[in-house]
Amino acid sequence: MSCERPPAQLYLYLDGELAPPEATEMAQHLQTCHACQAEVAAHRRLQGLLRIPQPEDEVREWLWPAIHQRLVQEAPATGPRPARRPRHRLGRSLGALAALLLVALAVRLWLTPAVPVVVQEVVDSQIRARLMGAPYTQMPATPDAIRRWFDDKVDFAVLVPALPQARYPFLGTRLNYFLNRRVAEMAYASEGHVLSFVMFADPGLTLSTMSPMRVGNRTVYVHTYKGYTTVFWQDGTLFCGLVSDLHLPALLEVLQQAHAMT
Amino acid sequence: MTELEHGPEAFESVAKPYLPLLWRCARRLVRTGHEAEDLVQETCLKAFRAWQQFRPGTDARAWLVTILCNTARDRARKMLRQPETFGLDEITRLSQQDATEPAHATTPEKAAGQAEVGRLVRLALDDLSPEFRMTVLLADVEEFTYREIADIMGCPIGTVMSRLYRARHLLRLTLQAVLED
Repeated sequence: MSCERPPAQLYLYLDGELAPPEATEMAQHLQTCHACQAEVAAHRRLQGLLRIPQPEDEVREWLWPAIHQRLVQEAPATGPRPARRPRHRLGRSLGALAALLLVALAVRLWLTPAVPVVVQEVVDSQIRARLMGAPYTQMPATPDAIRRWFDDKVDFAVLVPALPQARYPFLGTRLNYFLNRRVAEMAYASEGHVLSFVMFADPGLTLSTMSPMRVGNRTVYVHTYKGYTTVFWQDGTLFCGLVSDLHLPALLEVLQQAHAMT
Repeated sequence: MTELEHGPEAFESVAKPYLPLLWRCARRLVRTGHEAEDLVQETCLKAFRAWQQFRPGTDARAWLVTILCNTARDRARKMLRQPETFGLDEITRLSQQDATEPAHATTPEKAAGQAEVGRLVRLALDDLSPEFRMTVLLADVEEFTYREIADIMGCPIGTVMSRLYRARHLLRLTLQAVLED
């Protein structure tokens, strides 16, 4: 008896770490999957063992009085002190230097653009999927087969990038989740790296907080985060993106190759 | 914070309720009760020294456990540089220490059964690396979220996930006989 789902996904569910739509889906899956039910039971038994109170867990009664005594001894040194005259000029100079450095750091942080949520989510979902070993569903690399697979999983018509198979072998499809919504993901191999093409619908989202770049006839938004490069663009209410640990030039080349979206 | 709130009383009112949590964590991070006492005391002193930076309303539980983990890590590094030496008396005291711990169970049979299971769980946990042990303890016993554990242990959330997954897997293997009982 086994289940195709990676067990790590089940643990995310049990630990309350799945997004609501994923959690609902997992709860439904659990009602019918005996393999996962057995896994849950085994996990609960292990948690039960770990939570058995141990005799050694009882706090020794003298511990807090001992801590209290040390705190009281420490208090005059740690507590508030009356205002004192500044010690000497060196101290003041060091203080001014530290303040200047802090201001410089704050300005730098202020000038550094924040990582857009969509980028954080897509990259984190890639890392999470990789750690969990979440599998791709393999199928013929034809637009028809791919679209059929996504038919009952997402509520938008999936676009399939026309990438040359010889250069970018198709790894498969996966239903992903981020920003609390379902995301269609198609994965390709490229020079030993995985290249994911993601797509989701959101009429309310805007990419304008990212810097635009013109590639061919498309305006794309590029961001690098945690070693992954993301390239996003909008196609009506659909948001499309490429995400990979490949460098940006390789990703832009993919984008130019995938000029046709069928 | 007012001046009064800087004093030991204000600190104690926040920290003392978490003493059992700090103690449980300390007991699983170090080998002996004596070391655990030292670790908890040092943690509380460090927290008190940093008390002026603590913002009321923030999570004192995670803050204290973070200090405990950092202190344990510093102590482990120090121990590596200066290995502790034990005298004969000390070794005798340590070997007797666990035997003198009070039992919780109500009947001798139950006590023996629980003590045996407890001992096996403790051995299985001790077999894990400190990082794995602490991660599984924080998640499965103390019910911290992945984000909180990542902050406490100063590592990415992905590391928490992989440590937790591997630690649970190893515990399941080690405790297989107990789990199937």
